[in-house]
Amino acid sequence: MPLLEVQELRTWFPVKKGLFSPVRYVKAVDGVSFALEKGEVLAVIGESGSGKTTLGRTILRLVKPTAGRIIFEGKDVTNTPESALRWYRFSTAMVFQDPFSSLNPYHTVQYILEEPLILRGVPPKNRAELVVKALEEVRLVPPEDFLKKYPHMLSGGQRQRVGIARALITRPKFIVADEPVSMLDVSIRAEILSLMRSLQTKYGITMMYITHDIATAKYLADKILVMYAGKMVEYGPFRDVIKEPLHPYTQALIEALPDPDPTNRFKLRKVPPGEPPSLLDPPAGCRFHPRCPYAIKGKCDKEEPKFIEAKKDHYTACWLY
Amino acid sequence: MPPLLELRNVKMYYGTSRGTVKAVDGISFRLNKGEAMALVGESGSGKSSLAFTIIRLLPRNVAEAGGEILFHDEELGVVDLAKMNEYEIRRKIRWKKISMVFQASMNALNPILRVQDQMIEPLVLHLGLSREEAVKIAEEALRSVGLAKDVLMRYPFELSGGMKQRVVIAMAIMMRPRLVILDEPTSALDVITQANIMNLLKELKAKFDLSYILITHDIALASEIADKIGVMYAGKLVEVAPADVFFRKPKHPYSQKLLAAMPTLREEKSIEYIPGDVPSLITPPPGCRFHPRCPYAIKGKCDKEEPQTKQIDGSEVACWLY
Ligand SMILES: Nc1ncnc2c1ncn2[C@@H]1O[C@H](COP(=O)(O)OP(=O)(O)OP(=O)(O)O)[C@@H](O)[C@H]1O
Ligand SMILES: Nc1ncnc2c1ncn2[C@@H]1O[C@H](COP(=O)(O)OP(=O)(O)OP(=O)(O)O)[C@@H](O)[C@H]1O
Ligand code: SF4
Ligand code: SF4
Ligand SMILES: [Mg+2]
Ligand SMILES: [Mg+2]
Repeated sequence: MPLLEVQELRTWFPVKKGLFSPVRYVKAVDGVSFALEKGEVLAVIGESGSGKTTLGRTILRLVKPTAGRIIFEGKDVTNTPESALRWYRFSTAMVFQDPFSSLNPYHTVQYILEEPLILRGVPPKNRAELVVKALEEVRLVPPEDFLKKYPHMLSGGQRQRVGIARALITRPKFIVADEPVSMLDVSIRAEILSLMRSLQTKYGITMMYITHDIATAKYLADKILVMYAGKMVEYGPFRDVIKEPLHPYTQALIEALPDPDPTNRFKLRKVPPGEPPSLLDPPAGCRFHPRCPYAIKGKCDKEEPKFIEAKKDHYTACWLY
Repeated sequence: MPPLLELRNVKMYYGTSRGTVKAVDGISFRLNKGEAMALVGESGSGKSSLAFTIIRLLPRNVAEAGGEILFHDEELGVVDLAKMNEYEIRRKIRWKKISMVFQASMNALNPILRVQDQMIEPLVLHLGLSREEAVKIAEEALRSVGLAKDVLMRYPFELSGGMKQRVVIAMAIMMRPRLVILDEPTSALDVITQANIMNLLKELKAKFDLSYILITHDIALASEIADKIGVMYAGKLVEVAPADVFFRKPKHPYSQKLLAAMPTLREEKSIEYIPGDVPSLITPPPGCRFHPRCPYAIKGKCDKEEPQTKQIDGSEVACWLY
């Protein structure tokens, strides 16, 4: 049994322009399905506004799903009322993108880490011990140097380590890490990634790693899910997808990303022009068709491609397959 | 032929209530005509400060500024930008000879002004062009960055991130400068848009024979355009090397670490990290500023004496190992 199963999940945000105009929807997540075994890491990749954060927040039940199912440890939590959701809250956690705004500036590191334990009714004596251990685990040592500090007294990398420590201190089974390194310097990124990798392995945490940078995902992910304008366009084992991306959008994402190489300067990258569409009024048919170099006239712009298993365990939604 | 730009021992310190911030501390390099140099380094290493020093946009709290910034131009001959006054810089240099795309500048476009008004303002105000001339120039510049002229009539909020960045680039090239300083020109953009903008920068460079100084903390992005790489660490330039040499054999230990920390997609390698933090620029470490984090630091030497810059097979390195 997978730890987490997501089926045809949809999160639509209603928007109303005028008082009498009909309600329209921002279809931020529009039919996403995947399953994660315990200890697996899924990278969710896509451009800004493609719905990655909304997907993560919906799965954690921080946003109400519009349709579909979320099944955790075999239990359906899609519409469970808040009062019966405590166990799920205690089994999950989130690491945020912005280490500057995700920590309360008025609290000390000690209190920031203690808070989730207080909520779970851990006695004070154990709390102190757990906080020290959590700081050691994210290599904020010696812990005494950090306990009484406020977030503004820490560097960006140190703050993000506090964010990770806070997410892990309650030993969640599943975490959503939303772009945890994208605001950090490259030199610190590597450190945070390896820290997350080692803690994830040590505790067998199942994780959803949200990013727009496939290169960092490589160091964590077992699987990858590519989103474009609210739709999932490709899903499969990380290495298979990177080696042989099937969807033209995934191909473009990979083509766009340079590795350090001095011959890069002599070539132009073959990337599609334009930018992702509005989610209020997405293109008909395949949402990528206005930018796709392979778009089939009369088909891609009319009918929506079905999600199919094009290769073993490797899925895509594109009329080319 | 003299280089287009030559910096000799350039310094720029900020005065703050906590002390003097040595953001640019004795920088020397040469940039040839048509060449692109990337300036890489961690956050706070002084990259933007160096850019502001070159284009002479110094804040009020400058405590000390020194050195020579020699700019060579067919029209002007060799001039020292550090000795020119603001009036001369405005009339002769900024926009016309050297322009800059500022860090996060696409978000700095004035939201209540049409693109046209923002584009022509410096031309009319500082360069004394007529409105008609200025609009023509703006139109032409938009065309070279792949935007239709009706963008002139739009407000920034009506444009996507990629289009706004194209507008900002159009402004930088509209007076046909010789040198464009690009401070993190793609950092707020998605990867595909970033690739499109880098393609555009490559095309513009060839078309107008531009020189670039590209500031970025992303070494992979630097390799997209740089003929040579300059590595900054704590206000100092620790290595300047041709791209072909730098990516195959970086010489300074900090450069080696930066490359090793870079996640790569295609190449199989594990990533390393640089332990420790970037030092304070108010009280930088004595000797080599990298010594507290350097695995090769020589006790009694690296922590005492500052390494001088040496030439080694085409690279310039400041490190006691060489
Ligand atoms: N609470 C909300 N109400 C209305 N629209 C929303 C809400 N939250 C998100 N959206 C919209 O949903 C879409 C998807 O946003 P989301 O933040 O999930 O994207 P993302 O892939 O995480 O983007 P980024 O890479 O920029 O973080 C966007 O168009 C966004 O404006
Ligand atoms: N006006 C100012 N007054 C005082 N200190 C300043 C000022 N501007 C920048 N600094 C300081 O100078 C140092 C260098 O800053 P600078 O912005 O040049 O770095 P950078 O390499 O461009 O960093 P980033 O990659 O984050 O843009 C930093 O310590 C910064 O805090
Ligand atoms: S379905 Fe058509 S438009 Fe969409 S990605 Fe495939 S080929 Fe391109
Ligand atoms: S001078 Fe010494 S401390 Fe500095 S980089 Fe070289 S070996 Fe390391
Ligand atoms: Mg997001
Ligand atoms: Mg900067």
